[in-house]
Amino acid sequence: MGRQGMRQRAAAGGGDRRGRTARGARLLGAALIATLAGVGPTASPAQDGATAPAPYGTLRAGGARLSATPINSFGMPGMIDMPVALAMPDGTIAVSAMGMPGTARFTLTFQIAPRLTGSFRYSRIERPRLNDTLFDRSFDIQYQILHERPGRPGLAIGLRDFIGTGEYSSEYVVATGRIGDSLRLTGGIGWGRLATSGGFRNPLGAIDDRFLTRPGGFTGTGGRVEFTRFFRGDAALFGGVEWQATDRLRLMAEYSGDAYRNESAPGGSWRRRTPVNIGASYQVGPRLSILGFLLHGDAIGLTATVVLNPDVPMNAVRVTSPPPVLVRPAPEAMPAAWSEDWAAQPAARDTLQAALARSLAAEGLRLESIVFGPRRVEVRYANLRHEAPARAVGRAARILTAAIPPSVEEFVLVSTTAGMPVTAVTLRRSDLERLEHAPDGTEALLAAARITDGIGLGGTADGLLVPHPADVPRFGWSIQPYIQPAVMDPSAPLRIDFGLRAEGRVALASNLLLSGAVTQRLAGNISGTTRALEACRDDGFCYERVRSDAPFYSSSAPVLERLTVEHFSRPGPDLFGRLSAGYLERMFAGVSAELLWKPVDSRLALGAEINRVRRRDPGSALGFTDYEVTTGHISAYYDFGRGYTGQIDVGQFLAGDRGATVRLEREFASGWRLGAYATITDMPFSAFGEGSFDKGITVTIPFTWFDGQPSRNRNSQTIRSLARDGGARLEVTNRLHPMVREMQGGALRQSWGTVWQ
Amino acid sequence: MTDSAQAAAGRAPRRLRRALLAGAALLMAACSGGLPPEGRETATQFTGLDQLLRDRLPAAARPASGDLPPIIVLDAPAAGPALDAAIASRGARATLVVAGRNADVVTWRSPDAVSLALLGPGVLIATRGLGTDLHAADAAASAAALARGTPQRVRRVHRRLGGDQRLADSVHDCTIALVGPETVQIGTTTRRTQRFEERCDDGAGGPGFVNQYWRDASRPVIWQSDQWVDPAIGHIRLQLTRE
Repeated sequence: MGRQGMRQRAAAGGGDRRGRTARGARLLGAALIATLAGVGPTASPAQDGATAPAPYGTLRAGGARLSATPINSFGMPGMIDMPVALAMPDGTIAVSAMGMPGTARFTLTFQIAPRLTGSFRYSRIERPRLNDTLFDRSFDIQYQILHERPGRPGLAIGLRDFIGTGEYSSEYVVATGRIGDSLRLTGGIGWGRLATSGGFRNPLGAIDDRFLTRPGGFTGTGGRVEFTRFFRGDAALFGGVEWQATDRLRLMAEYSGDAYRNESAPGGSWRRRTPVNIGASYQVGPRLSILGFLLHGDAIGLTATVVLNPDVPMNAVRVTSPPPVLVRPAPEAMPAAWSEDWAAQPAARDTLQAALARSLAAEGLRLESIVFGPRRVEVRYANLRHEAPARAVGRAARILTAAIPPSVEEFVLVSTTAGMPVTAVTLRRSDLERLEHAPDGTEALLAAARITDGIGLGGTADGLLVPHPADVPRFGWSIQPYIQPAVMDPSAPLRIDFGLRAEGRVALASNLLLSGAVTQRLAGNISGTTRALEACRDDGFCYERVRSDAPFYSSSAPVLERLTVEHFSRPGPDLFGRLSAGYLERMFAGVSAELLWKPVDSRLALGAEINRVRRRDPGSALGFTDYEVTTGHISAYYDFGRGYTGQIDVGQFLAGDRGATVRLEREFASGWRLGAYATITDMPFSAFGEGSFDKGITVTIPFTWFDGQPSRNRNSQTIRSLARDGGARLEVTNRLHPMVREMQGGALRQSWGTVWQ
Repeated sequence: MTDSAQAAAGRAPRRLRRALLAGAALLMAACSGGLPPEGRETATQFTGLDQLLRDRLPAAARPASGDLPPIIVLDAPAAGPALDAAIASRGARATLVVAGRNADVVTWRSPDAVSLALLGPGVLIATRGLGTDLHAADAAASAAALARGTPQRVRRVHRRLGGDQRLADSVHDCTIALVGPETVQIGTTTRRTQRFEERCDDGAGGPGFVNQYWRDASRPVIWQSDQWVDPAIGHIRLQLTRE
């Protein structure tokens, strides 16, 4: 499987099963490990101060110091059901699961910025009043107007379930302050569902009468921000108190304005007897806490929350000791060693090259080619192991000090991917010798390094084909299990396939790759027995089916998922090119061409991709249906700094609809990445169907963060609204921007701390 | 470094965690060979069969998982300089040999790729392969004072690499004091030494740490030392068994 599919976006639609499957399996494993490691006593001691609990404590008369930001049953900063005006430490991720009679909620919450908390939730809600069971997605956002400080309460405003059908739809303004070290009080006013009990006339009605009534239901096919509902209708007060009894135990009581009207109706599993909830939260480990509560005097529930900080790995990266710098003898001491004659001897060069290839391979680096000069060598290498590109640079440079004759003073290290030279780091050998153990060696080496476009360096053949290095295998294969969850299908929320995927690849040249993947389902219940509604406009025009037919491509027979030839090139400075042809993904085959402009130190990148594809026949291995379409995008990528990145893709999608995808992500040095995207096209919302348009969130987790082993493996997961026909993008492997970006100046500088690691 | 005896208390949870890790790995077990997919060594597997198999190797030949240093027992080299290192908090010990020399710094390396960089008479300024490594240290003043064998107030800076791949510095004000003459037994040799103590405050107002050095009575050579690495590892004991 190609890197794009592995790591990056799972483009639009259900045809991304190739990506999803492995991702699903790994995410599950990673989540499991995360939870476990959070419990274990051996978890990293270097916890973020704000989230780390104090050691086991004993009950003290006056209570203990209030610990980390509390997380409520909605997975947001809060007590039991009610919110609090507190933010988590910046960048924190909280994953929580809540169960109580009739209701389960799974929430992913992210501290997007120091004042902004966002969350995505998937809930199963039994509603006896409506005699149904709802599978609901909801998004929350909370903005911290004032941070809580000693002597001053915090103030926050929040929207709960502000997109879509709005089962939990509510808004609130909340204040939280502490009294002493161990007592915290919260009070607020809520609208919407938070005012379904004990409500009173909306004070905002004094501004405008329209605030007095809250429109019900949702617009059209849902999935939109319902601005007209915000802060409308009755309001109600809520509040509560938290007491930190011990370093690990916190007791809470709150007054709630949520009537649980649909859930606690007659015929349900519980009744709302009082507006008061009580609960206790126990910090089990540095990352895991358990909240137990009695809701409204009748329902007992539990919430388990794992809180992660992407900058604090579960296991610190454990590198092997680097090869030390070999310092050259002084020229006057050994003049013969400094001779430049070797550069003219082919035999000497061959011996050097072979030795270098072996040394580099031991550090997870593949020598692609080398250009020798008496005073300067240029080396092209592929980094196969190090998640931090600067560590690869540092190790390659130290290897060169041991392998290359003393007359060479300048090392040019050119990192490559798919045969393309990407970035050159030029280092002086004497700097390496001087700075190896210098306390400020990291900063000084960066100041002395030159980081440039690698085109034309380290190899002579930048033509159509770049020769594959002789002693590197041309063939590769792998077999791995996959899990493909078809998440969030409202009619059958738990659909999943499990099986094996076999992949093979052949490097016809360094930049010409032939690869394919075959899957065999072993178990699963994804099938195309019920066809989703066709995407039709009011005027009767119906779009071609795209991802809504994805279930038909699931099969219990072996499936050829992908069979492609890919060619990569450097058409010019700052330019990167890709041509792909073949069975590009499970649902489409054809040709794909991409061009990317990305200067080595530019925040801006521009790209263009054009594809001509034909839909594959789900019933045959190699056959096609009649549907053929041109799809492609013009893309702009921007790095806002501090880890925030944005991307806009404008173009034509698989169903022939035209529009744009906007994507915002936050990336951490450790490799974690969280983002959200939305795609709006000219397909009317009514034709798109439930959810109105495609949107979702993406999470990328680096394996190194969990196990501490240097590796470039990452897992990327897209949690999207329903995969339909609108805004569906072709899933093609090895899109250029992510491949190139993570090897360029920004990524190198960000990881430069690892250069001497 | 050699994992002789894990602290018994930490063993059960670690084992549980390892078993569960293995379970998770099994879920994702994959095998592969030959040319890796573009850009990553093992794009298609998380922890592959190799890692599962690793646990079946005899303990002595097995590289460690988790946050322990790799475990390989090799006999000490028969000749050349040798340094014994022991980390009490991990029950680990190993014999290191010289892997590199650069000006005043000697890099020692264990057979399983843990390395220690010692400055001047033998002041630890960097570790690699321990997980929470001492990335770099400015301990030139300490090294100079110990080389001279004179008590002194010094300042040292320790640098650590965070999960965000940035270096964080801690500055420590230290006092190097002469405790007195001591003879130490290193292997079969008895060395007459002077024991120095370097008492450092924690830059952030924490408890600080103390390094001990047993310096040769007449030469700038530290035969034995207890040097502090970090709160997770604690002290590392070094003994120069062969010069």
